[in-house]
Amino acid sequence: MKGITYLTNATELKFLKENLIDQVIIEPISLSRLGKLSIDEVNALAKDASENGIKTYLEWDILMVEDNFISSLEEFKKIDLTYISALRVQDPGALLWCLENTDLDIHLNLETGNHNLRGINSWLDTNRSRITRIILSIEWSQQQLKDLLPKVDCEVEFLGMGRILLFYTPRYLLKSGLSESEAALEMKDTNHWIEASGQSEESPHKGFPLLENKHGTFMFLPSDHCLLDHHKELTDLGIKHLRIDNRFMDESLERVVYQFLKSPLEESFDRIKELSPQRLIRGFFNTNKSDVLFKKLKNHRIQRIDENYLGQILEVNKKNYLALKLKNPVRHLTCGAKLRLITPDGKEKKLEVQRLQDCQGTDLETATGEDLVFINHVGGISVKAAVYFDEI
Amino acid sequence: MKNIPELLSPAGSLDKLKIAILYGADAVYCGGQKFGLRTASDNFTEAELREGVLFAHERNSKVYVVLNGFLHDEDLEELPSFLRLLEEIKVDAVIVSDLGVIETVKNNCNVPVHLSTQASCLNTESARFWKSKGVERVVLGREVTLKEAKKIKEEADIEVEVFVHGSMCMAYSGNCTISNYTQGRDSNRGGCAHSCRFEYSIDYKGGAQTKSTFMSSKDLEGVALLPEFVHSGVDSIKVEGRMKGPHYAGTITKIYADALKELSLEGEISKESLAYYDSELMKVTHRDYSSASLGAPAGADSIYNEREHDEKEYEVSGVVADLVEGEFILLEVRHAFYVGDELELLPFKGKSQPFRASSVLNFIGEVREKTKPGELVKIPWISGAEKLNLVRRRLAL
Ligand code: SF4
Repeated sequence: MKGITYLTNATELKFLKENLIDQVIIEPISLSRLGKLSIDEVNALAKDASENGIKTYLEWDILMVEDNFISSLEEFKKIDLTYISALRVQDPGALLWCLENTDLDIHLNLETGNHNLRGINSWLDTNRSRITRIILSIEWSQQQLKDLLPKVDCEVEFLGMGRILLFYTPRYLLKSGLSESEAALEMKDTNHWIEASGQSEESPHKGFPLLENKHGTFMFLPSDHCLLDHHKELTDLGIKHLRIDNRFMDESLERVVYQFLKSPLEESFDRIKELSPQRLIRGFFNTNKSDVLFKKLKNHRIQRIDENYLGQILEVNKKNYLALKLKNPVRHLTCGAKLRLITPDGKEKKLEVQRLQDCQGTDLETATGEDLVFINHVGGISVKAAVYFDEI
Repeated sequence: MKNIPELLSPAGSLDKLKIAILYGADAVYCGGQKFGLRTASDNFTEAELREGVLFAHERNSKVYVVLNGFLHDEDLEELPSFLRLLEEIKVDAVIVSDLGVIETVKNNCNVPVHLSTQASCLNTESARFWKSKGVERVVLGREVTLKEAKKIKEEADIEVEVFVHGSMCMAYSGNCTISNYTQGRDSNRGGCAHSCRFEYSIDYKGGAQTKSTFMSSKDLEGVALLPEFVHSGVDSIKVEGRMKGPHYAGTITKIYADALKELSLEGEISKESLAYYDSELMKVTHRDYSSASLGAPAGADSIYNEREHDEKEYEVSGVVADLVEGEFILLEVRHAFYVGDELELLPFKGKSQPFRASSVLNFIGEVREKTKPGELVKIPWISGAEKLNLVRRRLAL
């Protein structure tokens, strides 16, 4: 398994080479969510990296409304692709454009959603020879990856260590809370880059890292994702590329991380924990139960209907009457009919219709279709009970 | 005026489906019991789906079923039998956000596929991509302006649907996992805990400090922009809100249906009508309104800088369950009211009619001084009332 990280300046090249990193991501301000490089810097860095034997991948991971897409294309066209080995995209528009207008390999970011094999295969089917790598969501658990990866015919990249992005909006949420002078102070020396930390009394988590730049506002988890100590399992699973997101790490931490990748000793992992700016978590790697509640919340009213289904109870007036909304367009209800009533919680009651009236209290011989009728009461029945003819 | 778009309303339950259609929706969208994003709304049983589709088709309206969760492999196994049911009962389209689901739909039935806003389709190339995967209509992300929507429709040559009203996700749809990590609930499978509505204290790196609901969005509202919707040529305008009640489903649908009708007949919406629609919009529980990104990318004024509160001007007292012309209305009570209360009937056509609940009786003629939700009561007849009309009450503010 190979490491991959972000390259932000030429001085890092030597350091990365020493640490056996031979593939890097470069991020232009105009195309990447957290990019800080001008196009000239991108072109120069890609050339330097290539001359140092390091492969360079261009990150084009912003989401773009039409106007942004057009302006992004203008920027993209200024990049010298000679030294770029692959394009990393998430927006399907960028994917299609790159497939049709360049001949570079594509690394497709599937980190948002994409939790099933069928969908992943369909993405790959768009162009199997050009999409040479997919980047999977860290919401895949170890077991799910074990089931998935043998069936995926493409190289896979996974986040090994770094921030967990929770939220991405194009709106400027941090600047909007500040006065002009405060905003100017916050953005001093930066090209629209505001960092902050947020906490809410309504959430047990404290210190959400927040960032606003020209692409909008981002919120991250106050804990960082780290699977470095699962390095071996990840390799065994078939993950080919492990991303080290160094964008919020200092050099001393980065050094220990690469050291650990070369020789995974327990002490160096302890050192990583010590140096990390945030608590380290494994996220959903061991298990992903984020849909347990979802399954419980699901409404399991499995009310199969058949030709005996008659309608639903609308009102229960104890000892007096039941109001019944008929919903069977074909069958007629008459006095003497035998009914089976099933409450929403599954209790069943039987009833013989002795009284059948309309809303004026007029006795009816028969009722059908969408009629609302009043029948004699039976105990233990609640509103919304389903009513069936009691027939075999 | 030509090219009046379809008005697509939310149907969180069978009841709301009927109400939305009777108040003028050309189409409604609803969820089956699985596969959607609204775990808390009354998703439809098989029986309800059948009844709903029949009800809609008899009135020339359409029903779209939402399957827009990001599904896992085990969910996909259960999907084909549900899809065959949808095809059998003649559902008009399914709304999907996941490529695996699109593949499964394509392989198991011939129901048209609409791409959910959850997939954040934002530009022409993206629309072309989804079209190549068999999608017939894209529901554009709420970040797209109407001018951009027009271009996407023309250049990608695909049906386009745009949100016109309702609550908004502050994040790019499908790009928020706050609930996944902070509450253990997958927001892309129905578990969103609305953490973006919380109040946050913010410490800026440069030293500033604030406390606000900075991630909370105002509600979208686009009545005044309807002429631009028409001009853009979009095929469908969508009202958000499957979780909201029948008052919302009926009132909002009626406002937009009436405004579209006026636009189609008169070529414009008059100032007086706009003022009336605005006053009606205020009667429904809402956060401050904003046109968000419909005209230009949403700015600072689209942020809802208040704590979530539940203030509402009106509530639904009941729904007309039956009636005897000239004698009485049988009302299915939704919120308690007293005999003598001033109520308002919202007819399917025309303006609301105020009246006084001068007598309230139950089915066997007993006087009900105070009604309770769920009971059926007789109130005086009001001319023009029809079954499933809403009756509402102004709340003391
Ligand atoms: S928390 Fe807010 S932004 Fe996130 S999914 Fe829910 S509504 Fe959308």
